[in-house]
Amino acid sequence: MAPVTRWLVVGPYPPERGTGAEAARAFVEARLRAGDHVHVVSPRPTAAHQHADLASFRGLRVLRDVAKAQRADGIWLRVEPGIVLSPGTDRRRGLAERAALVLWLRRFRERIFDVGDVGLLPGGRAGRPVLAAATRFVAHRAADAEALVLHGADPARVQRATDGEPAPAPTQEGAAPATTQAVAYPPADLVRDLPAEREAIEAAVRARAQQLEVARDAGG
Amino acid sequence: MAEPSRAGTIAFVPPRFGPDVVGGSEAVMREAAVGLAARGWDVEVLTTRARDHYTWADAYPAGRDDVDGVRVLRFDMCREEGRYPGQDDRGALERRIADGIPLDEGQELAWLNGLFRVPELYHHLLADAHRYRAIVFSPYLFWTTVVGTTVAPERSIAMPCLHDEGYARLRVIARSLSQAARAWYLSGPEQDLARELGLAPAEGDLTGAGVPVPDGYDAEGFRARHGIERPFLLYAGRREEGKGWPVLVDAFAAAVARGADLDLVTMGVGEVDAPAAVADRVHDLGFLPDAEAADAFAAAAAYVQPSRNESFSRTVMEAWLAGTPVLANAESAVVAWHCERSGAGVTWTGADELSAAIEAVAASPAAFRELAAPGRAYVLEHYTWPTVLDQMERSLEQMPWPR
Repeated sequence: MAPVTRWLVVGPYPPERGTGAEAARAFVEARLRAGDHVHVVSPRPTAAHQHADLASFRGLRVLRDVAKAQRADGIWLRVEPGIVLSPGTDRRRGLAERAALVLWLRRFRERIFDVGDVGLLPGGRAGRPVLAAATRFVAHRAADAEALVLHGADPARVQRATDGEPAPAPTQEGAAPATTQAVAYPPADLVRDLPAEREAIEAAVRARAQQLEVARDAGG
Repeated sequence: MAEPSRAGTIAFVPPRFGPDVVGGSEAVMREAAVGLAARGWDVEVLTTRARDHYTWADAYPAGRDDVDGVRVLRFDMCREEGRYPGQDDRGALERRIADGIPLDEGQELAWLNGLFRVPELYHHLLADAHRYRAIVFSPYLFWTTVVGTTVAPERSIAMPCLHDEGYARLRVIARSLSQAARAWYLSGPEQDLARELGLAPAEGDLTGAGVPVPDGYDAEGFRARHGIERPFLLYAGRREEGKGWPVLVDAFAAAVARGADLDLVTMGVGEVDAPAAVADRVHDLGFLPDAEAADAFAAAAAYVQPSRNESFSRTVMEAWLAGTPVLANAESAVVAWHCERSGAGVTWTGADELSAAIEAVAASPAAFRELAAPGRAYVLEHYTWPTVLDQMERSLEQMPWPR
């Protein structure tokens, strides 16, 4: 079978920080250098090609259209809240979400889950179809890799990424009204023997400015 | 200098690029790219389709272009319409930045991503950064620089064109610029500021910027062509509050009211908005061709730089080349630095001192002419393009190639 050459990448993305954005960037960089076509969709405006609300069914609808338009045959999906799988949804809705996701994922020949929140991939019978849908899992922590296997993921499909924890969180002046009070002009200090030296001119200018200020104050 | 190895391609990444693009850092990037290409470097420019920084509208076609013999790749921008998801609109964030109110990480990203993004340029860098010996980004506050330098920091050179302003204090900017391999600074105070704000990469070079040297000047012809009979002060640039134009107009009006017999000539854009008493003495010439602008610098009794936000101040150099003295805002550390080093300019603080300096020009023009004399030698020594390109090449020599 010909290798996958058209990728849809779904997840947080630079300039956002964090494991998910860094993992997405690393994957995209590798695929682009290999000459593949890559289209990135992120939940917020970033360096991704496109951004959209990716939560739940709404996100799935967006991604379905994008994947079709891009003729993507591979997907890299970050598993974290706000991207298709919703945490804390009721059982029926959760089942429906997962069923829709599994159905849609079938269109891709390669399906990589980059696991940020392993809790979104439930174990047991309910979670098995989702776990079976991935051709590869990327876990960033040993505990996540273990949890995936405990949930029923095929250990041969679970890959450890190099541990990558998120990086540490990281007058205009207005012009004073210049005086038009009567002061001597031409200003003697600025004329009489004014030497062509910076310091001397600046001193004369400052003295004159003080004179103007005094005159303005005197004029009320 | 010894002949450098010019192997490898140098990429320049400005947000706008073209012969008709107006802007200080954009002009430096263009002239550096063209100049290095003329010296035998393989140069490629990666930029957007925009010409002006008010609308950022697409003006050039996407794809390949050729500007003065330099290969240009133009990428589409993405621009957000309206509010950034989950954040205040960008205008509100801009006001907070201007007021010095810190933004949280999400707000900083909303500000950064909210003006424009160039995903295809980012992905071009992801795929091809390894092809470039060095990638030069400028100026510091746009997406192209802040996000672009994160792709291959080991190959990145930031030319920040930094001002002491709220944007320079955003952490997202410090994080990316400080990781670049090197920086090219236009002045010593700019380098000091970058260090103070934590933006400075480990290595930095004081390259300066080049100024074209006119073949000659026709000051009398300029006066005749524009019907200007009195001695005049000159200001070239945007007439806006941030550039100090209102301070200049008020100080000029006050000096004239006291008897200073001068006019004020201005080139550039923006409302003049002069008080009625001096409206007939203020001449707005709009945009002038380079040769005519050079003649204006030569004909002026003094050039005024009222802006405090300068990273280089090319117009000050143009004035000195023409033998014209400069009255510079002392609050601009950069221009004060140039005046200190050259001895060819007088600095002032506040409208009263500017007004007094204007009187001094009117009263003692000969002293000011003499004051300006060392200015031309200063520019010729430090800021001609051959000198600046030598500095840039010395810096590029430090970027290993092949890696």
